[in-house]
Amino acid sequence: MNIPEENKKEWEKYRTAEFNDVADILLLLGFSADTEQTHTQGERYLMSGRKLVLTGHREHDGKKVIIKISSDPRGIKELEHEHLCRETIKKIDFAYKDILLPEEILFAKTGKFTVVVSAFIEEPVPFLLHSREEQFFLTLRAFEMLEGVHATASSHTKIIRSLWSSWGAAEYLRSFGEFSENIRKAVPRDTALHGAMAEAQKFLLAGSGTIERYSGFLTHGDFVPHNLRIVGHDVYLLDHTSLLFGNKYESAARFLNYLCVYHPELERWISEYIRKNRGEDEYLSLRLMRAYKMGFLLQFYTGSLAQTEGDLHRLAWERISFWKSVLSAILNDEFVPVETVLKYKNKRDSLRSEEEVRRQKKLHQI
Amino acid sequence: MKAVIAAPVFPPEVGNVSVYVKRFAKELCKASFGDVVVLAYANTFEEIDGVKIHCIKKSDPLLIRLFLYTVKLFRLSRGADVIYVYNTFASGLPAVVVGGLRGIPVILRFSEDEVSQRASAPRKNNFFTIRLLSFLQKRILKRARAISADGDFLAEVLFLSYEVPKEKIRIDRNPAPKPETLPFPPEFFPHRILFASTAENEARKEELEELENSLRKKIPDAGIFPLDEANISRAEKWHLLRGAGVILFFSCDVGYSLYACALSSGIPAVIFSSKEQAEKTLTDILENPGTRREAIANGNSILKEEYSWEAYVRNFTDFILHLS
Repeated sequence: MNIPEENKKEWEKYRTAEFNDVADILLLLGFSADTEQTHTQGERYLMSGRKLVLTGHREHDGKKVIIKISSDPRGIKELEHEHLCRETIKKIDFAYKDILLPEEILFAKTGKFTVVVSAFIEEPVPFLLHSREEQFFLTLRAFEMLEGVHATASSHTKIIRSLWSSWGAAEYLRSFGEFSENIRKAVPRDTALHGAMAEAQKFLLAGSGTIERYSGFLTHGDFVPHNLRIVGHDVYLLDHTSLLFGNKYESAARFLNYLCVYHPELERWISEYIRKNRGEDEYLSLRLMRAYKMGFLLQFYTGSLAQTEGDLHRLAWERISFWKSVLSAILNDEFVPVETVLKYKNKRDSLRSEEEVRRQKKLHQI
Repeated sequence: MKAVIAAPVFPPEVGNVSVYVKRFAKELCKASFGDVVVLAYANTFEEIDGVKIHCIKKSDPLLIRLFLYTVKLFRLSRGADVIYVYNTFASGLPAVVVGGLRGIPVILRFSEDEVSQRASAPRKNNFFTIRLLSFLQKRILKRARAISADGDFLAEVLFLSYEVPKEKIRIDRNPAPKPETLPFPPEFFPHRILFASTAENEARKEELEELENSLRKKIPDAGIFPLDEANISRAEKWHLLRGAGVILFFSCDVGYSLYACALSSGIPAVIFSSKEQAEKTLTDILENPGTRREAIANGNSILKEEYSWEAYVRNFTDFILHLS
């Protein structure tokens, strides 16, 4: 058996074994998992951390919940971190707006398992089904919620330091250097990609003053619609392990990189809004962060080449090529042409497994 | 002339005070005031052409940064005509100390009551801390040459809670913030009335329902919608303001910052003291284009005279000349 197949089988074995083991434990804790679990399928095995994210309900009242469970040391660490994030967020007294997170119902260690159960936030209309204008305003509302937490004073640092280090220009540059190095190792012969990464590194270095200026803000490293829940005027954030203190525009950068595939018009609207209302320096900060996040994506997909085969392997190459063109567009302060996006999406959809298509649909709630 | 602006914060730090400090320095410079120097607690700062900005690191412990701020302010205020300080203990205390030592008049900008905010904060300061802060606040206010209050309510607070003589208090409303540019035009609802309030008020709710019912007898699609500024983004606020037929305020709870935004949105923004008065004027504005135009023109003139940076800077400059 080759390595990619082995990895996938290993994840499936882990998933089945863990799922069988946890059913009784969950019942003892007063919860049960749903029979169908889309989130653990498809390309999930390529993502970080051995933990199961399950949908389920509370036995005594049928309340819908999200159950995260792991017996793996790395997975346990992630769950503990998430629990602490939630606790620390509550203690932050320098936020201009409340940070809304789903309520944690249970955090327990039982036998070899660590379990976190949190409330499932029902949203009447998922983000992507709102009108474009509403999506624009909801996004800005979420950005302003995060931007309202700016750790500058020593008393602020005291609250957050046990959990988060605050990322400034030096940390972003070092991290980007690591992305470049990992890419170089994964695809040693792709000189065009190395060239694009080197150009991006120069861009980050030249803009390090701007990166530093807008650092110290609460930010969400994986700020995408499926990590948001909209209830009336409230925007809830999911995936607390992605919360960190860093550049004000890291969340926006991740979001705009997502939008350039799923919603190019909204990508333009938000970019234009930031440029016209917050000034050139903040807009530059956004572009710098977008380039940084592209580095992360390119590292992720070049790293996945060794773990994939067949269609998924071809898809990884398509993704590398696409994100490389988006990176070039960002460096030139342009938007990637709509035709390029459409071509990529068609190719991507033809190469995705049915299981992954189902997982994506569930993830995006469409 | 030379002015030193002593501030507790400066952008990129978020919040109204931070935004206003930067804008004030920029506008003074634009009006050729002379030397404009800013001192703030900040780890990094956004630059302004023509303004010298100095910072004391916020990451240092409180007493150290207070000491460093005082020393720096003493140096920077050499030859200054005025120290304009945004009130907080961290900037107010050093400003009155330095002003006293140098014999420079200190104008204190009072845009929020820090003591009462701390007392009502979720994580309350203890009773003795509040007493101490209240005592210090009185001393700071006493030593300032003049207090510039952002509105009548704060002027009352100064007079009643801190015993500041009325003749020492000036009312200078914060100028309207820069209107935001959105990537799409607002959807305009000519008969939509936006109701802006600083507090939820059950009695007012009933009054508004009555008002809406009376208006609908003449204008069937008239509707009153609350504008809940706390729960929307800045962009959405501008979008809603620009799409309304009228923006309605009641005189007992006008949020002047929102009123200034309403004025600069180019939509009639009107303050009423009673439901009856509101009903008559609203009907007029909604039905009669001439009255509407007049209300907009009136709003523009209030904006220019009371809520513009030109007026704010002019009043400031005149006052400095008067002091000297």
